[in-house]
Amino acid sequence: MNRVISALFWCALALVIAFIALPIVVVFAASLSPTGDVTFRPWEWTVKWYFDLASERWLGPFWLSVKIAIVVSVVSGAIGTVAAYVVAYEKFAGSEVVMAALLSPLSVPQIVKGVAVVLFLSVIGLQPLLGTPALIAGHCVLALPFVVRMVATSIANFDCNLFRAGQILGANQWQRIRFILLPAIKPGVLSGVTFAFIISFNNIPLSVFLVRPGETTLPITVINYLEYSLDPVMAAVNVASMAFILIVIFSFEKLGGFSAQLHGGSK
Amino acid sequence: MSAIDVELISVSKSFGPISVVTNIDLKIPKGEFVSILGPSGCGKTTTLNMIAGFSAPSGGDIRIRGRSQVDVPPERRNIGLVFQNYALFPHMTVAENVAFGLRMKGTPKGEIGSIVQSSLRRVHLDTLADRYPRALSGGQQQRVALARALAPRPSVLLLDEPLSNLDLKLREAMRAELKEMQQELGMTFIYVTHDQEEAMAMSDRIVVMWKGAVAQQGDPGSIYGDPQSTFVADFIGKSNILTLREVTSTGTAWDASIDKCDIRLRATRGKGDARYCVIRPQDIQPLVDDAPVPEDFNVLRGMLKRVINLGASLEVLVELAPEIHVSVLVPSAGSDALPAPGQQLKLGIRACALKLLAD
Amino acid sequence: MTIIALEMPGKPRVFARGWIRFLGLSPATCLLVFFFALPMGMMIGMSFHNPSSQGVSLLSYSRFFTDGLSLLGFWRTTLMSSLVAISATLLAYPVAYYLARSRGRWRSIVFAIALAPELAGVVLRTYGWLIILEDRGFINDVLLHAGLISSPLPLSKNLFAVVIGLTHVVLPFAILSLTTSIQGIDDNLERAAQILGAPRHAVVWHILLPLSVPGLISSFLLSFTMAASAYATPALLGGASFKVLATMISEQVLFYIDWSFAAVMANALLILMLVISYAGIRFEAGCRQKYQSVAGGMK
Repeated sequence: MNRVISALFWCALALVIAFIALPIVVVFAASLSPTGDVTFRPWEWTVKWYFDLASERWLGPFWLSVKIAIVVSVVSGAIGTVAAYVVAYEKFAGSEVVMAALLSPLSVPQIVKGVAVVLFLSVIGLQPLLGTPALIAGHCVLALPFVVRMVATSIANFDCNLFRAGQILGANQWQRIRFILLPAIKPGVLSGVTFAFIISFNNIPLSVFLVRPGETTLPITVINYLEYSLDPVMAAVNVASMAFILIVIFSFEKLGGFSAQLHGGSK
Repeated sequence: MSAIDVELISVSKSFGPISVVTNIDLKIPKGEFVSILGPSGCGKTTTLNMIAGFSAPSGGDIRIRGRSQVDVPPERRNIGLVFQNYALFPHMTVAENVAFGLRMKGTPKGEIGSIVQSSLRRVHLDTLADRYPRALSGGQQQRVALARALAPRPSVLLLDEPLSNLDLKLREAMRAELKEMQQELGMTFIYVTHDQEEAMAMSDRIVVMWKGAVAQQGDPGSIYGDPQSTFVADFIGKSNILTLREVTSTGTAWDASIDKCDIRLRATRGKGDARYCVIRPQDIQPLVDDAPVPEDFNVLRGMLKRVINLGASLEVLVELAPEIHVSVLVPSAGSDALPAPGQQLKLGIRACALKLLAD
Repeated sequence: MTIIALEMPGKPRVFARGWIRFLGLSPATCLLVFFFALPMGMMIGMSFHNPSSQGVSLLSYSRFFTDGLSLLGFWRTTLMSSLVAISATLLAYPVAYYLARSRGRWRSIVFAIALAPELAGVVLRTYGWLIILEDRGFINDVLLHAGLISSPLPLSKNLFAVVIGLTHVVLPFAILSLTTSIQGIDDNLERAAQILGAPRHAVVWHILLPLSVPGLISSFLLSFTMAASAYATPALLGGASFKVLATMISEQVLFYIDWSFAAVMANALLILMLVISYAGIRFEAGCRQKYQSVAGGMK
């Protein structure tokens, strides 16, 4: 009976893993499909669809997404880190309320946030802000709670006696922050920044309302395209996009011990 | 000859290239209280897990009441286990916890109630039957764990450092209770611990483990009085360990020369390949200068370096030669006879108190 | 030399002056006020506004409650989210148990596979399911070729496709949530049950499942909220025939330009989310109290 249960468990695990991997494998295979139709013929694979990636219709949105993501990750990273420091470390009356307020955007669906921003900008006549500026601001609002949470966790794990040690050795407050605190919370900050980048780059529901013709991000472009056709170029775009994200994560990991955050504690 | 309840035959366990337990041979007769004693990392927990069935030996066999347990999963071994962190089911009451093993055995519902009651009464917790574990103190939880393990009447009870999370007074009280219970039940108890006082106080036999192997086994008296290795001599109680330069036999006794100095000691027991001399601090006595010295005493002179007051006794550190120090245990009452630090002191050690060991 | 050993309570303040705190919080505050709080307030206000008349009006709200389509959208959203939550939680369980209890190289691999799809982005995965489920897609292709069916099965542009796609999207989060929860179940409890004579199925039934209930419900609620607010997947896999609140809201804003109505639907979605989130928080607090780990001083 034990063997039956065991067997069932391992089967279930394998099936779920297969389920998870399936669409990704399929898209990858589709990007190599020989015909304009998405079919499965592994013996006739071609990489010709990837060449279309160099065309302006993809590169334009790609660079826009990258630019926006960079700005968003830097801005929300900075704002979030400072805010997290104030709330998590310099505790004061009501810091819990402030923390809840900083994290409040998490409970609101992205669609709702997007609608609200678009309506707001239109009503107060700031329509020209739609497009890149609105996207940046919207993505920052989206990313901020994640940055705050990650940095706050890092700060919570920080041994505050290190500050006293620094103080008695003669460091003033700015030196203490720069040489003692920042290195210690680097994993948390980098995780937050990486997360912000990914959220911004891949974002759809919020961005749907904030884009403008001519200023569209890559995911929105892809979605619009997908409503009409299924051709393998889409698959290639998607695969390349994912590869890009993986490279970004890998670089951040090299920069600063992002996995240390996953395993708890600073590097 | 009493039946052998648990037998380990050349049991070993490795994780990949790392050998954690090497060739353990143990025969535990029915009704014995055995402690497996050793420092952390010595392999005692791994051995316990193998006896319980949670971990399969890489080599060797484990027999319980004569039957090989090689393919028997834990649930069919009819063993009890008291976990170090008790592992009480948080979503069940105390009574339901204790009843669990009986339910699994298929005991008829009508009997379960009374067995649970008597198990709880034995550990003095019958009034707490309907409480949840989170409402109990550490000591109470520990007793529930005990009652739960004993309720299905296992053939052997394993205990994994069950007292380590209790404070000192409670620990001492529980030691007595456990020993009493074991004798009443006549059940074999296998008790894993790193606390040598505990092991000495409760066991019929102690198995000292070190680096995955059995260093020595025997009753508490012989483990203390007759250590077979410097590890055991130092782990059980305190010992002075001196390295020897050479050992010669005089026919009736042994002459040991201590390394790096010209001290020679006479011991009644020894062996030719001994490399160390082990002396318990309480076996070294300060001697008054003019008093006559018995024949079998070794006499040494050294400089008193420091006296540490331990309360009931004094630990006196004496330098016999550059780099050769010994620790002497003296009752507090004898402090007046001691000279001041920096002064010379005469010490005596009986020849029979010296142990010459090979490792 | 005198040696003094200190143990100091409390945190050392870095900045003596309190105003620095407010300086640190102001960028975040500005951002959130201008691009979150005010817009949200305005949107709630807009729902009470009628384009054809001035002042407060409940026209859009009454429209929401009487219009069959919007109520249908609300119902569909709830149904879809519930189905997604159930399937995601069920599928996540074996993976979560494995991740919670195992160690070693395989664990890292499974962990990576379980979370990697999140990096691929919603679009890639939804596109993948489109390819698989479409009339001209993978499944139908194979079945048609094998002669098992004569015309394509309608596997896409309906509830079924959306549930599958969203389950896939939500799964990494469900797995993470359940893994944390199962890790909180002392693994000695399973061993204790075993040594007391319980075979594997009894361990699962009597010990594992009851203690997993809080985690299962948490995971359910998390998956529900994520599914209810999803946009891209229902849009692509549901098509024109299966609309949920999220897609309907976007329609109202981008095509019909009926902002008041859109605001009402957005509020409806928001309220649904807040109610479920709140239920989740209360539930979790209650469970933590009831099932708190009772390890004797250590885990």
